[in-house]
Amino acid sequence: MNDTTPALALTGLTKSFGELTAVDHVDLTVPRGQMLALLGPNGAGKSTTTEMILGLATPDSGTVEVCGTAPVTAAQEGRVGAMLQNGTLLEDVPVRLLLSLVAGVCAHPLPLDDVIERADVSALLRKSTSRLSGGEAQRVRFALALLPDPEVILLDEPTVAMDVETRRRFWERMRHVAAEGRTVVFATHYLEEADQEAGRVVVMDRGRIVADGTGAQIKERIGGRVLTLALRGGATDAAPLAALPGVSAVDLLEDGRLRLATSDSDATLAALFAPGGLGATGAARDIAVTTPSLEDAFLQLTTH
Amino acid sequence: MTALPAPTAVSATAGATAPRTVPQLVRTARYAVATTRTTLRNGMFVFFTIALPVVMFLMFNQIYGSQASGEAGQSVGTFIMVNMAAYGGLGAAINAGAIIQTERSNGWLRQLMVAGLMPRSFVAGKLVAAMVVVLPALLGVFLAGILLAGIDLSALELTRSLLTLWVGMIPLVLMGLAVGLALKPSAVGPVTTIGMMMLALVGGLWFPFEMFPDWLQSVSLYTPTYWLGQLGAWGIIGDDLPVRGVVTLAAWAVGLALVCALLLRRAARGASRR
Repeated sequence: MNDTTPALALTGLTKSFGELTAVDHVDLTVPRGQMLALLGPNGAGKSTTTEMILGLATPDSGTVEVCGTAPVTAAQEGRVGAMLQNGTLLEDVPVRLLLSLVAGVCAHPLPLDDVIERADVSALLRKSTSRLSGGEAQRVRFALALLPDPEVILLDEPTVAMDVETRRRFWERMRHVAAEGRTVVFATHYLEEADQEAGRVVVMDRGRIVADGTGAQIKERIGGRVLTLALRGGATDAAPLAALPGVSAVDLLEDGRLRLATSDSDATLAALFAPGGLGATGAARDIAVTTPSLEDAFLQLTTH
Repeated sequence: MTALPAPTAVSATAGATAPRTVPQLVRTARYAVATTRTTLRNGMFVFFTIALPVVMFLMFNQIYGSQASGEAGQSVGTFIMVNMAAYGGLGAAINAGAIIQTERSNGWLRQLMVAGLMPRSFVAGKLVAAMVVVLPALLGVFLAGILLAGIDLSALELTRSLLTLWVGMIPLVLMGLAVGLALKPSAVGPVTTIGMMMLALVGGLWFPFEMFPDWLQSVSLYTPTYWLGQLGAWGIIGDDLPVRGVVTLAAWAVGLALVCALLLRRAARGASRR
């Protein structure tokens, strides 16, 4: 198997459901070993794209190749593993039996004990699938994704229903998986997760890719800076702030601070601290300047 | 909390060299065994597939059983036993096949396909599981007949009848599979129940064929259930094999297998969430 063949190659991929174009001429090449986050609001086309990559749906036009072969072939050859969103588990069956059933259909499964250890499901082996909590079921789904010893792993909203600690442990394990050379593509709504874990972020909106780069590159794309400050006496009057040079938006944050989006932080700060300005008189205090978050970039890219 | 194992050199080449692949046939066989195990775990299902025909047999036998009938003087009870065994097998076959739809509709089939199972292997596995599940139903009625109703059967008669009925179940399992593949989850239950009852009725498993009006008799001759009963009885009496019966059952089996193959292609192509 050629190591330069990309893990995923989507070319002009299109799929519609009646009037709705769910995926609109998407081009995407994912090299081996990459950790890629797929971001997008509901209806952006992430799940439909994932289904086509897994061979569960056929494109209307365009092609999708997994490790150089058709998706269905790739799945049957054991190149793919997936954590499906709300993927149902066979009911009323002990977890161990479920795992060995699935291992039996894989082309070259990882040793069962290996997978049990890695997915942290040894405590769940005797439990019935119908009795698992949300987080426990996710761990079992993760085990199922690992079982085929896949080259490419697709995760659809993998950390939904996980508490903070479980989520942290999950990503620790995923990093090990990626360190082995496997390609990981995950769709998520948790922007910090995408920012922290992925080497590459692809933002989809209404069936198209609207941004593609590292988290830093995407944040940089929307440019500008964010100023947060507090007004004396807990005032929340946005009008004088909106009038400052460079400021494009003023929002009230939950803790009472005000958030200014500006295209030129230098100009804004200069105006604040000019004689008589809000900063100079002390009306505006506790000023912080930050680069936009991925959430800012995401919202800007996807709200219409 | 155990420490995570560090990635080893072996796994660092994940899939870089083609690993030894398990052949599809072996994977199908493994799946057949595994899904048989999970089907049998459903205790309520297994219990009712045995209990219902046994109870019906004992009931009917109590009422009609002791009348003499048949060329070799078998009692009517013997034929009731064969018919109830056929009915029990029929129930097990169709219901086991229809279970396929829950796994298809709730998305489990998708998970299996991503793991590497071909849809036809999925159906083959379900076929095997259903045939295994049918056996206890058949055996249960025969044993009830011998042990509780005092019906006299030689080992040859028992084996021949049992085997004939078992093999004859194949078209009925395929029917269950076809229903499971074709219909929406909510429709499967009612359709299988009513279908089963109609087949049993028109096939003469409940009320004797001889009592039917002429038109019903002609219809009955095309049902798989009528010939199941006939072949089961042949297994005991051992006279001339009803060839028409074998042909009818084989035709049903081939036709339903084709239907299943068509439905399967449709199911595999559109295995999406919708």
